[in-house]
Order: sequence, then C-alpha cells, then structure tokens
Amino acid sequence: MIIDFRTVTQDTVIATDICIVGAGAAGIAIARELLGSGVKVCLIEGGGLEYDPEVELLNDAENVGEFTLHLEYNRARFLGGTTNLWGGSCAPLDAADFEERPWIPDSGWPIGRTDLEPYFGRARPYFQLSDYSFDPQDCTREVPELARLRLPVQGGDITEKIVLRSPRVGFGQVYRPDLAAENTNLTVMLHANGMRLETDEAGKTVHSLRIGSLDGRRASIQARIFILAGGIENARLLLLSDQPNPAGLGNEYDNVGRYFCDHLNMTSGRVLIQGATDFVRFYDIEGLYDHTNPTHEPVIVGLQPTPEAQRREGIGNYLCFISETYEGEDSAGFLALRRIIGRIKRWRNPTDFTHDFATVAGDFADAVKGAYGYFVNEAPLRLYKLHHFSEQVPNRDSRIMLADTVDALGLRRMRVAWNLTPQDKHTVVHAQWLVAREFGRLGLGRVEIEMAGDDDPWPASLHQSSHYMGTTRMSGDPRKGVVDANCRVHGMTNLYVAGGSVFPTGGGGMVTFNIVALAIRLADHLRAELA
Amino acid sequence: METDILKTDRRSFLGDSLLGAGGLLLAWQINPARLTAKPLRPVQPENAAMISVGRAYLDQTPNEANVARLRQLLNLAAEVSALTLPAPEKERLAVRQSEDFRTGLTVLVQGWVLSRTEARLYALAALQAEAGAAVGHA
Repeated sequence: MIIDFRTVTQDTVIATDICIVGAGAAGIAIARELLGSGVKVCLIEGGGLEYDPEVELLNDAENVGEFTLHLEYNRARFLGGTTNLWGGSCAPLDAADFEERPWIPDSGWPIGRTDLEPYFGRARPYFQLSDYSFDPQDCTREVPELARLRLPVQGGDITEKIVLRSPRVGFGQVYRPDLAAENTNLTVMLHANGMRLETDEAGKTVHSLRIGSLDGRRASIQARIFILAGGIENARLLLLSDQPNPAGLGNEYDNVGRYFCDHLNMTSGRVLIQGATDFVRFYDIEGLYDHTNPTHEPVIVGLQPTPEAQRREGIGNYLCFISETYEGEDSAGFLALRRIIGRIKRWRNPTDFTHDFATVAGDFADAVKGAYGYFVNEAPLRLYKLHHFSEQVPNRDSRIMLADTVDALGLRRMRVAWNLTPQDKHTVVHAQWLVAREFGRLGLGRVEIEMAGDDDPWPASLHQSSHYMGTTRMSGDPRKGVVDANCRVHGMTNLYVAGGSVFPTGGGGMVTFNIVALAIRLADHLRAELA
Repeated sequence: METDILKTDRRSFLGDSLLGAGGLLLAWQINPARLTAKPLRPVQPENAAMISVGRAYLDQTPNEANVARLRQLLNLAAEVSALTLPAPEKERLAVRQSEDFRTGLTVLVQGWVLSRTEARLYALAALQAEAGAAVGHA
C-alpha cells in the first residue's frame, strides 16, 4: 500500500524488516522482488506521486569542480525517481568493463559479467524490452532489416554494441499497482526523506533511520536491514550520518563520495558515409529519443573500440552514434566550389581562387565530400553528425561532499566536484581516431574530428549523461571501496547500497538497465539471508 | 539529352566507377557545350573539391608543394595527371589508401582524417590545376 508520511503521527517509530530509501529504479525493483517474501518491506520516497517544484528544490547542489553537474533538473524526486525522466536506452555492461584494466587506475569490479548475466534476463521485463538480443550477430538474424543496413565494421578495431530501446518505462507509473496493492508485505511511504542513519555505539549496525518531510514532520524507521537506493543521494546520506564516526558511515578509508563519474556525452565532428540512405535508422542516437513513433525499430547500434583496441590505446570504453543528416549543399562552401569550377573552366584570374578556397576551407566538409566522390562508386555520400558517449575513468578527486549550507530539511546540501582526467580526453580523442581509421580502411567514408589531440579543448557540447556512479563504489577490498560484492557496506552488518553509486566504473553500458539487474541480484541475496 | 552528353563525357573523363557524387553534382547544371568548347579537359566538381582539399594539405605541409616530389611519393609517372588518373592507377591508390588507414598513415586536414596517399594526390591535383590555370591565364 501507499501512504503519505505527512499523515503519520509525529515522532512515530515505524518497525519493519527491510527499509529501502529511495523509490527509483533500484528501490522499486528490490521492493517488487521482495513482494510475497514474508518479510515486511518499507520503501520510502522523498517526493509524492507527481512532480512538485517545492520538493525538487531539495536537488539543489553546489558545484566546485571543473565541470558543472546540473543536479537541480536532471533528477526527479517523486515515485519512480529518475525513471520519470530517462531516455529508455538499455544495454548491459561489457564483460571487459568488469575486469581490472591495468591502464585504468582503480578499475575492476569484484564480480564479473557472468555473475550478472542471469539478472540481465530478469531485468528485461522491467523495461518492456523486445526479445531482440544484445548480440549484434543474433540481432541481425532477428531483425532482417538490420542485415541490409548494417555497416560492415566487423573484424577490425571497431565493433558494434546493441542498445535496445525501452518505451521509457516510468517505474512509478507502470509498477504503481504493485506498490499500491493492499494486504501485501510492502508499504510505500511518500514525502519521507532519509535524514540520518543511527547506529549502535560501535557504528557497525544501523538500528534506525531518521526521516522527515518538508512540513516539519519527523519519525524513525527501525529495521533489520537498510538499503540506500537513492542514486547520488546515497553518498550524501552516509556522510550526513556522522555519528559515531564524524567522517560518516562506511567511510573509514575516505572513499564515500569519491570517484564520482558519469558518462561523457557530446556531439562533435561529422562522418561522410557511403551507404544505404536509411542505414542511419540503426545508428542514429536520435532514435533513442523518438518514443512517439511506433514504427521505429527498437534497436540502436553504437560503434565502439574492441577490448583489444581499448587496451592497446590505453583508453576507457566508448560508444559512438551517428545522427542527423547534414545538408550542406546550399552552404557557402558548396557555392564557392561552383565558382571555382566556373573559373577553372574559363581560366580566369587564378588569384580569384584565394577567397573561394578560403570559403571552401571554412566549410571543408563539402570539399572532402566532393574529393572522396572521386574514389567511390554509385552509393550516395551523406554527411552525419557524430554523437559520443564515453566512459569517465575513476578519479578520487571527482567527488561529492557536504556543503556548509543547508536545504529546507535542515540537511547539509551536496557539494559536487565533477573533475575529469587527461585519460578521459585521451579516450574520446583516440576512440574517434580508431573510428576514423576503420571507416577509411573499410572504404566506408571519412570522419571529421573536432577534438583531435589530447591538448585540444573539450567540445562545447560536452555534457552530463546523468549517470551518477562511483560514490559508493564496489570493491572486494574495504580500503578501495565502500560496498562489497553483495552491495553491503564494508564494516557494517546490515547496511546495503543499490544503484549506480556502487559502480566502480561506468564502462560502455546504459546505467539504468544495469542498476536494475544489480538490484534484483541484491534482492535475491537478501531473501536468502533472511530465510 | 544534355544529361546523356554529360554522362558520356564523365565516362571518358573519370571512368565508369566515378559516378559516386554524380547524382548530386548533376544539379550543378554544368553546360555541356562549355565542357567541349575549351582546349583543356574540363574540370569536374570532384576535381574542384580535390583541388580544395589538396590546397589545404599543402598549406599545412609546404615541404611537399612540389609536383615531382609528390609524383615520386605517389609513384606516379610523369605523364599522369592527378585529375585524370587511369583506372589501374586509381585502383592502386585506392588500395594504398586503405593500407594507409590500416597502418595509421593518416593526416588531419581541416579536421578530416585522410589517408596520406589521398591527401598527396589531392595536393598534386591542386598544383597541377594551379599551374594550368596560370598558363591559361597568361
């Protein structure tokens, strides 16, 4: 059932078996998996059933890093969490993403892709995904159109990655009937914000969670097990829980809040491609956002460096999508080319060429397109933009801290220092070069690179993907992470974390799908533990 | 009919395999009468583009702004024009382009990743066109 915390008596002590903090993808998935388990589950959500601007103000954070992380409007504090905003892209992490990669400091998960594989299958229905495989070869068989439109990039440094499109399942809407059902073991409490975890004197076992609402109501939840499922808020709540350890819970080695990472997202450069005019239906990032067109294929194909190429180049994982036709035929460059032709034909003053060559150079894509046409056959040449999606490697100095100012609940706000490393730029630069060289080697076309060297500035289009990862990272070694392989906080007996914050690296996966797979795995673990 | 004449001219000029950007470029409405009226071979849109790219390459690689040197680097005979490569030469250079990309012998020209071979071919085309234009003007 769903209740409103604001109707609960002040300073009530609520008893349950499992308390889940945050009703986003992870929290709702765990709650659903535990339905009928016989243990009492209380799922708390800071917001209500719908968007509320007053509640969303709690998202405000300070930025002190190299780049600004917009947390105020890229999160959602109401039932369903950020699934109310997400784009619907689903793809599992690659096997190589889980491995320790010697060229990426602090990489490596304590679990492997095979540990998560069964849970990927169980996660699919949550997203209402089609039956299409994540394997490009299988997908070609299942989607005959893909075979015709697929770019032949196999066998070199570049491979393909399948991204399946969910119809943007909003967990708060789609699974509300399950959450609201009467006479189950689940209670969902809205407008209840986690404020502080309270432990025994040793700081090893959490006995209660202090909760509060914006109208000043306060209460406590006592539980056998606590699960933090609040995304980027997980680290904040651990830091806010500063008794008995002033550094916060699970923070003996100063890892809580550190290693914050996102997927770097940017549109930069272009590609000139010789191929079927409609191939881009499978490679176009825009397809990811077209949820209104029922005829669109539920498959998007990204291009990515093979694990071997990543190792050789010393780069993180990376995906490239091809999007939006660039129609440059009416451009100044094209018109200048026409003038050059006319003058060469009439052998007019060659000094007149200077201006037009400069104009062509100013819109150089037209010139490259024309020149490349000298070598190609009958397939049309078209220009597309390139959309880059790149892993941010672990960086201790990219972090979440507590600010000195407080929010409307009286809690210290979040201070974010989103900082990249030279290796992040190295990844995007060299992955682009790999794509460019493969396109050239295979005779597919030519690639324009805007950020071609490690010293070049980031493209102005660089922005966050809102995949908030790393701040309670998973590690088998308590000195290097916050949670263990079962998502239990190191050094704590009954405190768990779910969500992207446990990812030690973001790899080449789409975060929400992997979050739910991990959440289902955690639910199984807890069922066994409580049995 | 004009289109047919133009296609015939293109075959003799570029060879059967060079219609890649032709559909688009036919829209430029080049007058076929002009194409046959000049003493030198007409310049096709692809050629103008090659010249533009070649000029950009030469601007950043001035030490290669030499016809003889470029011919040597491309292993092209003296009588061959970069703008009118015989089909076997074109095929040879296309293979060499692919090999350039495989081995990383690439160059960034105005942000575009090109094979060193094609960049040099375009550079040769630019030098030849500029020389021809200068002679024609004189």
